Amino acid sequence: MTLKVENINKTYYRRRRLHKLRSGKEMSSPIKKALDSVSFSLESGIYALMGPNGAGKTTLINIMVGNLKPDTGLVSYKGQDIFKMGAEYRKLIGYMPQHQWMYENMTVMQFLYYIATLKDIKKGPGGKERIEQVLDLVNLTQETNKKIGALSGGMKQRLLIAQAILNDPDILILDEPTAGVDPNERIRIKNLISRISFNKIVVIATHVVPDVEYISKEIILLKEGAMIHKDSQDHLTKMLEGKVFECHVPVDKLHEFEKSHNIVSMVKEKDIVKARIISDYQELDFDVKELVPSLEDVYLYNYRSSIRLD
Amino acid sequence: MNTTIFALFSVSLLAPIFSFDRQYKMERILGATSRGNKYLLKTRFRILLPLQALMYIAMQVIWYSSLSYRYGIKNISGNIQSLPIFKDFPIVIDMRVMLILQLLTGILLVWLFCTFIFSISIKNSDVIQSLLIGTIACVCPFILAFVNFDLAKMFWLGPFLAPSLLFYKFTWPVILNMVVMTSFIVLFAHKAVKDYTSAQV
Repeated sequence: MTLKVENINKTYYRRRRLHKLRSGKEMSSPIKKALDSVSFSLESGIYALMGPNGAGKTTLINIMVGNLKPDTGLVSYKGQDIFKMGAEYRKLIGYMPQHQWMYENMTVMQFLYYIATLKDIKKGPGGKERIEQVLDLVNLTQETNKKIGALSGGMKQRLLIAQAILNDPDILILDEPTAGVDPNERIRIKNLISRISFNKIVVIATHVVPDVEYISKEIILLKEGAMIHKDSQDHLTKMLEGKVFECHVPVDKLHEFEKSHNIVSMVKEKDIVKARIISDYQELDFDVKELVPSLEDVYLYNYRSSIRLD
Repeated sequence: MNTTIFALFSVSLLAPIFSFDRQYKMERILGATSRGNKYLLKTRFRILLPLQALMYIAMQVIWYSSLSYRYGIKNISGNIQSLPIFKDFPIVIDMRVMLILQLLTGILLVWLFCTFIFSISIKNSDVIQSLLIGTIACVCPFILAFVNFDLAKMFWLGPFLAPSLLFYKFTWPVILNMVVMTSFIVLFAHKAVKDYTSAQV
């Protein structure tokens, strides 16, 4: 069970405005290179696809789902091109989009029946049983006759997960599964994903570090369309050893300190501030203690320029 | 008039179908299912086009029945040229054949018209907008009729809404309009379907 992404490139172009090349040929002007030679391979397990907004996560996910064709490159499952597999590939995948849009006037049950039909799940008792099983798994059994428009954000997210796992997919692709939900719901969804991930390739695109911390086998970091790392959480945090510190900064020097350092968090204690920083070199001017790096540190270290711009 | 009512009914039935999916941004979810995308498009066409044809046949049968009830069926086996409006019709056929011919032509034109409405539905992400565009397309011949009644019968979707016109208004402008309109609908539908199935959502 291997899903391979090989040398994927995708550029978005302006549709209408054309610009003339020196050769006289007219070309659509590129807006953005969304993916730049992205390659990796996935075996069963949970993979986190991380990066700030605009890093190319959703584009990559749409390509992996088969909803978007890359300009160049190949996505293959068990050695076969997914775009050539077509419906056969789509039978094996479950996809949850980033947004919470669904037919608002349908009830939960009607929606799942509709998706079950489109996923070629047998009608009759078998199909109904599967829907009830999935509803139980996502804890929506009490809401079957509720209209989708009347569900809370968390319930909608769980319903989106339910439709994705309805066909018991080999590959489960979740785009921002915890977007816009409260911390309790976030934990519930995280546990649900862990529970359903057995013997599947699960890809979770997110920029929320705690969502994938401890549950993911490997983390894929995307930056400006390029893959910068694909490694386990342990290896990624090990790479940051000797770069995460706690500095005791006097309050009056904090302003200057903030300007020149990547501060992860701060706690004020009397006349000093305990700041957790990420730095390539050890700070000598202040009282410094080396800390064990976390995944959040890895994220901040790799995306510091994006974070400062934000 | 009855075909216009039929066309408006078709618009209300067909125009929301694809726009509804797009209004609720369901394309990505549907596109990721094994029977979504191309299969869903084909299934919708396969169900709705025969349904439209059946509805059209039913409407024509009711229309012919009411005519025969009012005027009786006399000389139905007579030549079509015996009727004043068909006196210049180039092929010698009897009235029954003409009725069948009109019915078949009507079905073909209804399908073309439905394909046009389907394409509008695919292209628009707003149900109301699709309904409005479809309705405007249907009532355009009436607007044209205010300017010139013959123009209304000959141009735009006029002949599509009244297929019998093709037989007793067998003139070059009508034929030219049919060719232009058919080409336009086929190209528009081709573009809409290509956009829908090219996996670019």
